[in-house]
Amino acid sequence: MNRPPLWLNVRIREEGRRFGWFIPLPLFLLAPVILAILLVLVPFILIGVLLTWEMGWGRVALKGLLASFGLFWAMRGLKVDVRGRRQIVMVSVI
Amino acid sequence: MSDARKRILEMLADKKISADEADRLLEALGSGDSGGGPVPVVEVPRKGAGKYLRVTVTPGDDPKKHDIVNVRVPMSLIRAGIKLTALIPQHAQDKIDEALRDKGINFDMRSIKKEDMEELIEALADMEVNVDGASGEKVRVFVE
Repeated sequence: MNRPPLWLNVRIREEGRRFGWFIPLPLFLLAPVILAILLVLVPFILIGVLLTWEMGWGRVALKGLLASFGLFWAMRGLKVDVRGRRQIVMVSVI
Repeated sequence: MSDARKRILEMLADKKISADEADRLLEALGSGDSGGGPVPVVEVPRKGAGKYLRVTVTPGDDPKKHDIVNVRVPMSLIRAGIKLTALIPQHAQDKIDEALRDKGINFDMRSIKKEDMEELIEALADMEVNVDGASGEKVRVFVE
């Protein structure tokens, strides 16, 4: 079973510049906050899904939510390192 | 020819094992036939599904002219991404099929089953793409 991602690093630097953007995102610290927000939103999401079920959008929305969650869960180990002529972009999910 | 011997030769033909491993297996089989003692187990490295899909682009003669790309995508992320294709609306799927048909590819997206996808991802482990550009840049796509 996959483990969820714990940390996200994003680094963007313009070529020729010494410093750039570095965004370290501790996902394990954000997870409880997101979970709390989700818990609050769950009733509204469910009502929305039930209301739009007949039109077919509810099913798509529910599947989409689950698939997005699965996508996020599977992100651990992703690494993108592109050193272009103008910009350096590095993304790593730990 | 015994069944075991035939299987070893088939594995060698399918490139699942190397010639050395096949030799050791056949030797082990031979000693097992003659001696009747315990047959030594030869571990055959299984080329199972890899963990990551890697895409690397390395520059050639002039590193300033080309970008350097090093991407590592977990296979689990590819699996999760494929699941998202189920959310593609019907009319969009029809458009994709039509575009593929225009290109001469007779392919129906709806015919892809979950098992086929799993098989496809497992088959990626054997795939390797090596492209050497005219100015020396190298593109590699492989699974590790």
